[in-house]
Amino acid sequence: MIRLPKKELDELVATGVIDEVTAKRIEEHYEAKRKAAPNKLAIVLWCVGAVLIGTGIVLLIAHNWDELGKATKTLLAFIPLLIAQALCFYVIKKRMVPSALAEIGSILLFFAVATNISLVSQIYNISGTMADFLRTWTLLTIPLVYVLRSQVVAILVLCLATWQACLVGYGTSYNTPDTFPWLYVFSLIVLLPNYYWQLKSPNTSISLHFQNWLLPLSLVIVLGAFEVNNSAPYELYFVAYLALFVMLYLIGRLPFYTRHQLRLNPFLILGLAGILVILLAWSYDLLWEDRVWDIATLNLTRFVLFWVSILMAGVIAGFIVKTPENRKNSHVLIIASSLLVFIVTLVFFRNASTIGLLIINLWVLAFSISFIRRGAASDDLGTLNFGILIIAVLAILRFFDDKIPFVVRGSFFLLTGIAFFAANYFMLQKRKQKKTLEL
Amino acid sequence: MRIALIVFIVLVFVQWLLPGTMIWSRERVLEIGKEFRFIVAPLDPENPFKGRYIRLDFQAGTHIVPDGSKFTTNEPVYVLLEDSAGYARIKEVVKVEPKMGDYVEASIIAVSVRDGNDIIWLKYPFEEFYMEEFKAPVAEEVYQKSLSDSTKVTYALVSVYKGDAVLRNVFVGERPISVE
Repeated sequence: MIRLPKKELDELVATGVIDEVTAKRIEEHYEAKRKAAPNKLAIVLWCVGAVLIGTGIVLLIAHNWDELGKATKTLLAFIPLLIAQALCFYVIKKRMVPSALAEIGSILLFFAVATNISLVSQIYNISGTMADFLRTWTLLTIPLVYVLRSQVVAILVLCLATWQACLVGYGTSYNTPDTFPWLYVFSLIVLLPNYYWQLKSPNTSISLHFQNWLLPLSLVIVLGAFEVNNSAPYELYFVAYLALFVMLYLIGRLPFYTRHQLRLNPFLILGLAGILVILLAWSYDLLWEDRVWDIATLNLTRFVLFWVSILMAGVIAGFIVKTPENRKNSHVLIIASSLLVFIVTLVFFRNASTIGLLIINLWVLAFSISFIRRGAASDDLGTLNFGILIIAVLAILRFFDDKIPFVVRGSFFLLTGIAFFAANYFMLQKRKQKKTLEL
Repeated sequence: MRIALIVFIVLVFVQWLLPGTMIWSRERVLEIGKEFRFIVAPLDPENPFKGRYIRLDFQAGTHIVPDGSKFTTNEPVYVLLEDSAGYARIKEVVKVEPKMGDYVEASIIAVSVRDGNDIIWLKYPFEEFYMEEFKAPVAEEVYQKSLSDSTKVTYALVSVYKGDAVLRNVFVGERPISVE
């Protein structure tokens, strides 16, 4: 909310722009608006309190009180559930959805369900894996996201689904359909419409920023869990992750995200960081060494990650073809083409590591130059220095490469340092000249 | 609002139905099931939600079969039980639910070959015995001490009824492990 400070109002009155009555009315208008707006901090604190109470009850129950009989324990298992359900029922009946109370009721019910299942399992010594428990918990609470419009439950459910996907995907070595993270896919499909409505809403909530970070992070964590076949080559994981990072970068360029500051755009940050990490990892000879690889004999179609990568490549192509801002922007095209360059290099030069290394190194260089050019063109020192920083990282990685002569390595460092100073100097000079002309 | 209320009532119903069914099916087994004593070795792990428990390693957890290649990992099977000198023993492991006899549902953890015999390793749905937080670690110590006394057998008392099973208690000798 934009608000005129008292000093500004006084100045407007003093200079005769507005009279004192108008100034008073403006002040009253903002005061009334401030009082009507919900106190965001208070809501956040209430939600944190509800989460703490919920987890506290779960832990108290986990102690497993011997003194209490079976009947008392069973009764205790249902009391938190009943209270939380009654609160949620009251909130819906009184049409208080969405509200802070709806949020608190949902959080309490979310944890009451976990307490209930835990206690019943404890009383009857019911065995079960953690993944099964998380699945039941998720399925019994996910409707709260829509019924009570609870954004905190949306966050908690995504955390549970991510945890469950890691347990089934990474935690077992058996190649069975159980190891595919079905629950995660289901949760994503269910949660996405809610996330989309949040994005479209003119008011940006704190929970949306949380979800903005959680969603791409969760995708990065879970992607590897989709591969149920243990014999999948590691190159496929890199291709899939590169496709994911390029996709995240392009999502980060959507107007929903670009209207915020860069630090509030995790899709773009994670996407760029991921692309760079993968390219820099392959700019080193470690991943290229000791491997004879024959794509002709490798049946890629039996790997889930192969199909997931194809799907993501399709999404990337869609983002580029359908969006003129991406299609006509050479900088975006260079970043997105990293996937294509990486795949082509792997397919044709996997066994010719020298050529492969050269291509990847040159591509990182092209990548950084693109940032430098863009920074210089848009008078953006941050982007320009980011480009130089990529070259610096490349130089640092090459510092330990004993295959490159010292003279070449030294010269590379010197040139990078000089470029860093020169670019910043010229940019600042350009700004000064512009300012003088404007004056 | 009306739809939200209906969906919420359905959700509440399901949230009660699931634990309700869990309780009902277990109570039925406890009431009319036949009791078996399984010789076990307890270990003490922890679940962040359900608390501390002792995980039971069953002596009747493996079974020699004529052809191990017929069984696969994670496959559900039915274990037919019989009483042998007061303790449970596996009579047979089958894939189709038996029409009579005392049996429990289990799953295959692994199939191996030892001394020319095909062996299947079974996972029972009653291998966790929940105890008070501070008693579970002590229970494992009690079991370790009992090993030096050959007259004390550590066993799990399990009620079995038509494939379902409920772990009633774990004993060291004739005393429940939780009061040792």
